[in-house]
Amino acid sequence: MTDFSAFLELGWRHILDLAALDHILFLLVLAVIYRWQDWRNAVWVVTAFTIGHSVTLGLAVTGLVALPTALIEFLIPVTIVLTALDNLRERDPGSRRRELRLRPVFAGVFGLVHGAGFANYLNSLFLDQITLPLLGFNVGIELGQLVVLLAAFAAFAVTDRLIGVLLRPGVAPSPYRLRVLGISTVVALFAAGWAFERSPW
Amino acid sequence: MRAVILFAFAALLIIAPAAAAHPLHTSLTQVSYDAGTREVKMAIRVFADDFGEALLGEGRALPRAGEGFPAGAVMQYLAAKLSLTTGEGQELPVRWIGTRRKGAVIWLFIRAPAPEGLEGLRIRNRILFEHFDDQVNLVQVFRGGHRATLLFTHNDVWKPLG
Repeated sequence: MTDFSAFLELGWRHILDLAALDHILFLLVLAVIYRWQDWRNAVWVVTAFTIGHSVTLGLAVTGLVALPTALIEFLIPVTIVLTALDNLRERDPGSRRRELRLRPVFAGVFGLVHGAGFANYLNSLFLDQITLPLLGFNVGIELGQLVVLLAAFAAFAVTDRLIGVLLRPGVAPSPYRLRVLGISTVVALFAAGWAFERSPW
Repeated sequence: MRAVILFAFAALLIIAPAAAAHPLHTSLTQVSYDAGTREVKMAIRVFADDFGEALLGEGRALPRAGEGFPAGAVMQYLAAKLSLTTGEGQELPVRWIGTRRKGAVIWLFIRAPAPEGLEGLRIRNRILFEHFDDQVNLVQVFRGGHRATLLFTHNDVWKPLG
């Protein structure tokens, strides 16, 4: 096995591990406002997130920046809360099209924070060669994220169908609106709890 | 409908595991051959807090060398978790060389006699598997100017070195 494939598997396993709930929940709130037909936008947002955390990881591994672990661990759930709160403003698909053009930018910036979370664990793994292992790890992360995204889209479709069956049309908000509201609220509550627990102050 | 939503909400709260950061549980072992002494050299890099917790109990990091470093206990642990065998299945005895602390990580150095070189040897690395469900152990083998990487997860047993 080459360094590239070994680290690709490491990144892949890391994302698909259920212990990685903070990462998975962030993907969930990033993706929850999208529908099947918006898959390109969702993939682009997730990829921007990967690019963001690849940048911080690279900077930390090469020793260019030193990152305060406690602050990073606190900021990670904060990014989840902010994304979930932003979702609550979503009324109908496409109602905030102009604002959502900036979503990949925010995903990339928040990715910088999440990447810093990895960096403290990874920077001692890359001993002499950095480029290939780092690339492999990030490709593994991206592939794992796309699998999570696919699973999330399938879950969203089931949720919409379920809500549609349970609710009478016209009486309540649309299944889309309820899905975005419900998932974003629950995830925001979890993440707020984590932020509180990890608060360095 | 309200009951369904409340039930779903409660279920989500119950099934969500306790808040935890997103750690990456890994160890790195570098394996090479010392033709002068005809021994396999192994340098094992672990996080001092993870390893200390597995060895000494919750919340205890592995101390530095000279500060009550438990070399005997570390060696006993490594002998149980990191094994080298010949192709015929004969286990190679390992001996303790020393340790070096660098920030949050600690390097453990051991050696094992291997008169025939790395050819035909097999390795098993189960370090910290009993402690972390997501533990992944990387083994880098330096041989003939090349480097190969082996990856050990909970499902892996023996892998050839040469």
